[in-house]
Amino acid sequence: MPAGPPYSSPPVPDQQTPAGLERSTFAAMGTTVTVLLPAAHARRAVAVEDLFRSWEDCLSRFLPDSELSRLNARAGEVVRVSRLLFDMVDAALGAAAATEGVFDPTMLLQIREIGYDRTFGKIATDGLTSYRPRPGGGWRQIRLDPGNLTIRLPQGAGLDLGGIAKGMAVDAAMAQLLEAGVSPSAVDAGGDLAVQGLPDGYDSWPIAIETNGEPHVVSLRAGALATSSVGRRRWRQGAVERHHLLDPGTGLPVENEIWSASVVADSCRAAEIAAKMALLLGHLRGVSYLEQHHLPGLLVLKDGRQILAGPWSPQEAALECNRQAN
Amino acid sequence: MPAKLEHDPKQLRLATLKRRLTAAVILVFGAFWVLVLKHPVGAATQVSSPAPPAVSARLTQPVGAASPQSQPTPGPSSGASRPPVLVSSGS
Repeated sequence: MPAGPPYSSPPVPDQQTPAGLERSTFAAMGTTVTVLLPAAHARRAVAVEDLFRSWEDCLSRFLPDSELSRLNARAGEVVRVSRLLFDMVDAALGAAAATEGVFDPTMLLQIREIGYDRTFGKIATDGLTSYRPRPGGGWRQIRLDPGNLTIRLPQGAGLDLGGIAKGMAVDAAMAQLLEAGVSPSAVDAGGDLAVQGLPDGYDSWPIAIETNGEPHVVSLRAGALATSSVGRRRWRQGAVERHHLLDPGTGLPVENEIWSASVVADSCRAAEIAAKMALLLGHLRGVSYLEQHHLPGLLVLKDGRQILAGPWSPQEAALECNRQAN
Repeated sequence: MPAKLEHDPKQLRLATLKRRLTAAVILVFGAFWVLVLKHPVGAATQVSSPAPPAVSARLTQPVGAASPQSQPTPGPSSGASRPPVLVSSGS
């Protein structure tokens, strides 16, 4: 049985570690996590890794013994859960309500049925193609009891907290580092990243946003940046090409003109949700969404065009105009 | 007397005015009904490109936008000319 995705991902641009900082990487939550810390605090990376591992143990949909998997297996019952899982589900439902269901954390059964039922590197490429699409919306029937820390999922629905959990893990790691007085620092979980402070000699963090062409380098002085893309995590299910970003309105991988959406916000959770929103909404409504929420974003279209939206600095906008004019 | 009343110019003008006023009100309401109530703004877009219910959200509620004090400021600087420190590759 052939295994693994048949599509190659875009090459990752070379990265430089600023003088005085140390770079650590580890695998967690289905991605590679990178931590940049002052050399004097480099051992703090172990604490960041511990945080990601404990979150993965609790929130992974791929680990059968994770607390999330056990909750999903008991749909229809009232289940007492940990504070971490409760807060995560609460945040995901808040995002679903705020976006009127465009962000939907209850697409677990659909994403499994289109073949993404194991960690990405192990996806089978000869899976069934008899998927009968059905829309999401199960989040509306989830019941939370904050007093007793209980959750009741409706039967026939399951939670997938992948993206928002990663973003919130980055936020939690940054809060931990800030509390310990570790600055400058940066944490990057597969494209969902946050920075604080500035390395010596830098007045911003140069961040490369992967595109379907040349990377787009932006300067981030503080805060978080997240990217959602259909360029990664693609596979074949029989003769059908799939990717992991589902449109809750149809239950199918979203099909529009956007290749990726990157958004800057003050938290990685907000950036992650907004990036996914912009991608699912498509070019025009995605731009409108970012403008309305005053979030700087970069939409990369499948035809190679790069669209800036939201409150980018005037210099960056001018730079973009010049780039397009040339 | 009744015949005299029927030909009273004042009464005739008043009756004509009432008829015209009624016709104008009907016309204005009719136009409003056709242009606004029957064809709200955006209806043509919805017909030609039906969006799934979930994605047709009003998009007015915040999901955690940056506060003015802490809003990041992406833009060129001396850092932009350096090699990137991190890569946002998409999840």
